[in-house]
Amino acid sequence: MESNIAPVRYDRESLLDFFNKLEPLKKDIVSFARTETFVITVKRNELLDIVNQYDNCLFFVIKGFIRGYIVEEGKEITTSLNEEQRLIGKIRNPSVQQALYNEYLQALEDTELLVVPYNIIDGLYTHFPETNALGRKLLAIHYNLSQERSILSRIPSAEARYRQFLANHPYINNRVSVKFLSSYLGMRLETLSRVRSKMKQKD
Amino acid sequence: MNPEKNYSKDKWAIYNGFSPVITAFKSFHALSPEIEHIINTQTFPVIFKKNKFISSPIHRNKYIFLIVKGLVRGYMKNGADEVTTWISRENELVGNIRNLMDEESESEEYVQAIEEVIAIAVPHTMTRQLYDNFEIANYVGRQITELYYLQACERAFISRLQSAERKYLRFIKSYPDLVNRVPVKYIASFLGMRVETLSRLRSKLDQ
Repeated sequence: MESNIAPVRYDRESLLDFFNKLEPLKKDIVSFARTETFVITVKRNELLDIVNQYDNCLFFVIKGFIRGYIVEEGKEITTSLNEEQRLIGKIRNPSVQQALYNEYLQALEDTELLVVPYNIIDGLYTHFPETNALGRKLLAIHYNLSQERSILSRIPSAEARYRQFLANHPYINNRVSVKFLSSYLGMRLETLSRVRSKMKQKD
Repeated sequence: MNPEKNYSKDKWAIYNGFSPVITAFKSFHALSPEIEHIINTQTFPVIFKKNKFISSPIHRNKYIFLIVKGLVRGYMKNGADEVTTWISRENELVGNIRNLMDEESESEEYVQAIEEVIAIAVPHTMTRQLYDNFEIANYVGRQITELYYLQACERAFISRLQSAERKYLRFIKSYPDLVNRVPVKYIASFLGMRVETLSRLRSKLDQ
């Protein structure tokens, strides 16, 4: 779901455009959302404090890059790479009895995030029922992204994983260090470097 | 791909007179009689025999399916290997959301019945009709998509765990009903480990 034509700049307006293209939003919805949501900046390498300061919120990347990672047996494993217009944060669903997992969110560039508290989302769904359609479509996009990750991590060959990743995300490649990208792709740093140079030679 | 249509004039006779899809949706929100009528009219029961395909890259279908009975898996081909990416069971919805939003989009996914499956076919045309005309449909659809998304996150997470044992322990925790029901080869594929490894783990943990 990656756009092939990058907007001239990424800001709150381009995020709003993105939403409007999915589902046209009436002025009163936009006004409500503008007053009730806010923008924060997370500096490069900083962690987003979703435990204390921003629990019960979702976030959209306005500008920048966030990596998600889990800590498994003392090691960081990069689980998601999130560029502009991506939704990040814990999706809640109280009816699901599954254990959750802890994903840490770290900025890889200075990043602007739109913070949307869950009670505001609830307010939107209640007072502007048409926002359920937008919610549905955003969730469908992110479901597909999660599916892609699911497939990616199950492909046995490192080279095939890298190719699949490139096919889905041709533009992220340059924004992530080899260290984090190799972790995301479930391979050693040396392996990723080798796969990359091998591919360059072929081209 | 062509599901055996399993109905006569009174297709809902053995389902208490109405489509099980109504019960499934009502768990999220009450439905209007008009919506229920649309669902009763346009959804229909189907059967997929064991190992038959529900959809494939060549034959994309235009339905989401509510599983009434049986197990379904989704897999991708990687050369000669089949990589199982999800396994679904009764009361779960199976189908390609991308397909719903964009019917021309390509998918490399195979969806296969791994037991005989009785399901209710939910046409994309009906889903779109409901979304276009009823607020409640979007509310229910949003909640269902949320659930789908959570399930996808769990599947992505489990495959990132670092040891076969941790993956299998997580599998037991998250999919307790599948542990003794799904053939070992599909569990192993889903967890990204060899069958031998999984068998060894299972005997170890049984003790």
